[in-house]
Amino acid sequence: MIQKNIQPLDAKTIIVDYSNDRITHRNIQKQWLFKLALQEYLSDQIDEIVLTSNALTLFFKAPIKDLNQIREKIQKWLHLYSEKHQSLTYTKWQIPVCFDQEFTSDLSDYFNGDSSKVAEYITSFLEQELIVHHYGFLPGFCYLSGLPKELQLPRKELPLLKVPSGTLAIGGTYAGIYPQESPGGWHLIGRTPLDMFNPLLATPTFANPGDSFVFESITKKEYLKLIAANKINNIHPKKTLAYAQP
Amino acid sequence: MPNLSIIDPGFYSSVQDMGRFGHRSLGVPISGPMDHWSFKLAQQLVGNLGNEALLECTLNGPKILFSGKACLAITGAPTSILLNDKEIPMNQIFQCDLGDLLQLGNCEEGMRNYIAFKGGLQTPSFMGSRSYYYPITPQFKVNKGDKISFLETSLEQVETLNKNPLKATDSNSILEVSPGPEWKILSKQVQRLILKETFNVGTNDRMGYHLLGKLPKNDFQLPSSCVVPGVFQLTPNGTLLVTMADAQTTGGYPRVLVLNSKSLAVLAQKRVGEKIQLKFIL
Repeated sequence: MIQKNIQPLDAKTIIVDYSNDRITHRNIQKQWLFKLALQEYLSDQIDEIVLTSNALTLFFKAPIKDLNQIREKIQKWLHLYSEKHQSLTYTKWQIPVCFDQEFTSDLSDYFNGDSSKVAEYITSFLEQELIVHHYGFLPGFCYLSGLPKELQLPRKELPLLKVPSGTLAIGGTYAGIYPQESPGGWHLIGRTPLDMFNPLLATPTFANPGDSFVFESITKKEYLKLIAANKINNIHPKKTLAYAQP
Repeated sequence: MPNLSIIDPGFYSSVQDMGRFGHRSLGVPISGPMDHWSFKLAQQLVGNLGNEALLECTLNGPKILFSGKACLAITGAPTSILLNDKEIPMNQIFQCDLGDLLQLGNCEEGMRNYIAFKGGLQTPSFMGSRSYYYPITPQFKVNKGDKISFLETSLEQVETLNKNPLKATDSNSILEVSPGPEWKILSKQVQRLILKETFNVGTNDRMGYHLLGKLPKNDFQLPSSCVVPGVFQLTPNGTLLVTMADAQTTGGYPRVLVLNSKSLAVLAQKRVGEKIQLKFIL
């Protein structure tokens, strides 16, 4: 392990820089296991560790008295940490998405109303397998990595005040699904009937970081049917076990 | 269990304890009090341990009918307190009885009041906290007609009064900040401008405070990273957005400054249009 940059965010929070490894299932699992191990090591002092794209943020229970001492403690641990136990499998979730034009107006705007370009974009999107990188922004909002350059769309200049729950959207290199209605600045490209976050469950989200999403196009009629069914019983997306290529 | 019957919720009242910790990895905000200083003082005044649930009220306070005995204290922005028709001073413990009507007025200055109850409010806890945050809790604010249970207590039972409670916060137009992780990516000129500028408090809520000044537009494209209450994010149009209690857990704008804990409580009492300056502390 190399030396890592460790800096404070506020009196109870520090940031440990993480490498900009290429985003693969194995690398994300590696980051995730690293996070869990560090969390275990510091469990008496911290509430939790949050992993974002290139940093770990450590939330301490009490204000940090001696930053240098913590720095040394972490650096010492880094030297001893070895990456042994990497899981070779992950779960691949099949996410139903409706691309009815009612839900894709942002794509239409982005391509100046050129419907063949919109269709081409959606076709290409449906071929992707995206990796659940981390959660953030809103409870259960997943950041999905792995979009090829040609499918990346910039954030919008003017955020929308009400992005509906279930909206699949693109913001820069990431895709994401809004788990609840919220303001949002990403391009909206479709809608899923799935419940992405259920606070009443012991595990409120179904997918873990390192898992992946593939997308299945459904009609508006199927979408409405699934929304109705979801109100009675939580629908679980289909899943398969996949092998993580090194 | 006795309850508070909400006759009028006021402008925006919510139940808050210290907050919901340990779920930021799922994107769950911590919530909890905006002005944690007045929150702590209110808890001390009724002899609570500190994580009990209380009412946070905004600008215009609620009207509450009691169905049992309770010991309470009200702190925060200066406001009038009427118990039935008798005036009650702020920052002091008092008792309400069955059938009593408590009414808070409009804040004379500042934004928020804290009504602490000995033993705390007994709303259900979700993901380890009673703090309102929709959709983790079924509602985001207290509504007319709500019934909120509390533990029955009387003044004789309160023994653990704190002899030296906190002093109430002063209103101060100078906020103390230290450099955030992305302070160093700003040009020297923008850094100087931020520290010289007088900002106007813009739109604000439990998620964040906009500070309006004359900072240039920018186009930093950064990967999203963690934010905590008190972080100043520099938005593309040049306004500073200070994240507050209900703010999202990650953000993609540069985190240029961080408020110290005392100043975060001071900012939480600022209204739209008030002036603010920043002072560096290292």
